[in-house]
Amino acid sequence: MLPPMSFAPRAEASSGTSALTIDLRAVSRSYGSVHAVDAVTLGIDAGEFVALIGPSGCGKTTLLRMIGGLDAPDSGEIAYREHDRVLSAELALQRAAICFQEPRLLPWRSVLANVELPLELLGVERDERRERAMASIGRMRLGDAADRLPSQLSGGMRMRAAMARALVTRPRLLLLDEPFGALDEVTRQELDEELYALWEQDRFTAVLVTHSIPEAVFLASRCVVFSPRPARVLVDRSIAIDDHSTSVRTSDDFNEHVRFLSTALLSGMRSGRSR
Amino acid sequence: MPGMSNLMIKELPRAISRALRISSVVIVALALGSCGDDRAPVEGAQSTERVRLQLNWVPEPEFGGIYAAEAAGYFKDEGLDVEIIKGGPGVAAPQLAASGSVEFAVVGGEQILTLRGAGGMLVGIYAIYQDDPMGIMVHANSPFNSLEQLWNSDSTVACEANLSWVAMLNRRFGGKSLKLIPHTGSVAQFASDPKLAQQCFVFAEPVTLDAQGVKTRVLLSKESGFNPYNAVVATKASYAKGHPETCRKLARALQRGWARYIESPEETNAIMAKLNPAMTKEAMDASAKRQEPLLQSADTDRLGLGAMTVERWTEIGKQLVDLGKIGSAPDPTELFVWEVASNASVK
Amino acid sequence: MKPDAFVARALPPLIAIVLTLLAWEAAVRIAEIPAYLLPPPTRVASVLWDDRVALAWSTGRTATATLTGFLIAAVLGVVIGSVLTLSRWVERGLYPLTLLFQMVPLVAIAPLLVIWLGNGMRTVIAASVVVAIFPVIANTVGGLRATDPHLIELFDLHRATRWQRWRKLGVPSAVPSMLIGLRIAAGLATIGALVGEFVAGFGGDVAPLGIVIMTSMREFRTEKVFAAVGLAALVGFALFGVVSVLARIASRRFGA
Repeated sequence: MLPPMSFAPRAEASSGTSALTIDLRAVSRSYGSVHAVDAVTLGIDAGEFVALIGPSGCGKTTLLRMIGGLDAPDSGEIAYREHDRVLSAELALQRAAICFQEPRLLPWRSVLANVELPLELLGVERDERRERAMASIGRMRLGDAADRLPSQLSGGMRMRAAMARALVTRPRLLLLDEPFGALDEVTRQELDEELYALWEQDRFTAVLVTHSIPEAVFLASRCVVFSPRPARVLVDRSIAIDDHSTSVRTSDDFNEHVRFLSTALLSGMRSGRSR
Repeated sequence: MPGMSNLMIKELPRAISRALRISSVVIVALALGSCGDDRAPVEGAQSTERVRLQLNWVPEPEFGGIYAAEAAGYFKDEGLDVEIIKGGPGVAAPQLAASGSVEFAVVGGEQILTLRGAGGMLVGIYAIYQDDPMGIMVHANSPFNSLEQLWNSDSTVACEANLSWVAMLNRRFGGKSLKLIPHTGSVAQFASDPKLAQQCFVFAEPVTLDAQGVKTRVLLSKESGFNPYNAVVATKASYAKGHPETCRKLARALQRGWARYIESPEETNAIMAKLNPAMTKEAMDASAKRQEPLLQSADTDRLGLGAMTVERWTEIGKQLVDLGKIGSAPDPTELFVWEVASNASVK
Repeated sequence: MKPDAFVARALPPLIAIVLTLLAWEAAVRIAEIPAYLLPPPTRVASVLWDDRVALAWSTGRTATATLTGFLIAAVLGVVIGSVLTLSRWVERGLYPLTLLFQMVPLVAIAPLLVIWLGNGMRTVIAASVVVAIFPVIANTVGGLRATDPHLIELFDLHRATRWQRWRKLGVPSAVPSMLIGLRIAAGLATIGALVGEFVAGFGGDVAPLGIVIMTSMREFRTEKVFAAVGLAALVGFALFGVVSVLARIASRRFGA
């Protein structure tokens, strides 16, 4: 058994707003003849919640994966900073967590053991692991299901478990790739609200890729609309909404944002088609 | 019946019909399998009788007289078309003859008696080995000159478990300090250990070792007192009863073949060496020399090569009963047929 | 299983077995088949009873060899299978060699095993391992290779070490596949032990079933051959059964 990594586990690292910023400068990525991302320049401030919106296959997921270190740009750079100090990608990503569309839970482990996994891989002691995992499970309101296997959970509960796992390390950067895309509308809205509440508490920097414009408007402080592939920034709009209750989705303010972004998206798709 | 549900009652007819289908297949298979091969010998245009003779090993000097008879046309002279079928490890020669799959087979004399207990009735019509060719080989410079001496020592002897003559040796000479270890079938261990003694066929392993430069002496198993006929050409009892003339003809041809082989084995050895590439003609020549004394006895001088007597078979039967190998000794006249004149004896 | 369902499933084969035994007994008697060719079931039963103590010891010895061979094949197979997946190069280079275990018939190399390892239990167990190991290797490799790439990515994200990945992700996720391999290996381990006993089972005070089979054949006691074969089959069934039960329990936890 190799010794655990030589830095302090995350929980001790800061409460309070994340200080992690991300700078993408002229980032491009191609796969063979497929041009996925075209010289995207984007800055993400500490503690911001940014939503990336765009048509299917436009490259936004690729962008997210590059930010998360799962892929590397062909040209351009991605720079991370904390308190204005440059961080190596390695160090920055130690403070990051990703949520995918599939929960990606280990089917043979209970919810508790799944949520413990990141801490286990870091070598955190068993008692502390358990405590922190149970806390995270509690935050996701999964307390009753801690000993159940993933096969015994609904889709929504599996997603909560995945989020509990993502949050167990108290990440400073949370990346989300259409996390609720496979769920029904009601569950989706529920989880949107809970995610927002968590973000309000922890104030991590968040980057969300989503197909749902209402979701983007609800969660994000900033929405970026991309063109069809290869991805280029079309629109970068700040969102300021006071209310984050369920009823806000019917408010005019809310729907104004939704309309604006939808229009931008559609026109981007139309002009993209003529390319 | 309490506990039996409607489900089970519905299942029952289907279950029974399925079981019956399976069983009927099994019955048919068994019936076909038990038929055996009771084909009558084919009568050819020149009224030659077709018979099959199954060897219980690969072509070797042990069967020299058979191949000599074939090569010299002695079978044809008797009006017999004999198909000699080679044997090898795993060939169940006694069962093949007893079930009628072949007309004749070469078997061990002891096997004729033990197979009877299991329902297989064989009758010997020609005994190739008058003395059992098995024995224990020791290195040439071993201090032992007899099995009695060996048995009274603390030597290590490699031999198969359950050999009747070994059991006899234990009875006669005790062998308390003797160490018996399993016989692996290879001579490698023996060759490298000058103190080891190992079971052998007098015409086989010693010849192989001699070719490798390892000199040996063989202490014959007949010293134990148990000395059955061996390499006996046998047929099933009902065949012997139904075809006495055929058996006589075959025995006569075999006599002539063996007389010829004893006289000059080289020619036949050349033929057998081609059929059995694992043994060279030279090895076969040496082997034929070693087995010669076993092919003849006072009985063969009197009654001809291949002869068997009631006295011998009686003794073998009694000994096997004593050793617990068979339940009761059968009427010795049911174990063999010998009606051939002594015209073919050599020397 | 509910009692009705259990009876419905157990009854047809039981009836078939009983009817087959009756038909077999009848056929032997009616056709007067000699005992050395095909003994009636009653004779097989009586030898099972008469020699029950000796046969019990023989069965015990064969079962010991089988179980030991199976366990060694299981552990070695998982280890070798895991090593093979360390890298594509290792796999491409060595996997064809492991095919040798599969292809070379045991009856051919058993005598070689005797020459290399001598007589006795060691060789019998070796024979059992040689036959049983390949399905374990193959299914371990298959199971490890089929690890969900999403989960692999998850582990990479958390910067798991190779060892952690193997232990916490690879092995558990390969368990269903490994269990399939183990079930196959259970049956093969019995065959391997028997063949091993044919060539190396001599010596020792207790004759294992393979030797009983050989000796009984030589003595034309076919009913004892049947009895020994039946007992050997029982050993195989028992091992297979145990592994199957374990497989069913494990698949509830580890299954897809």
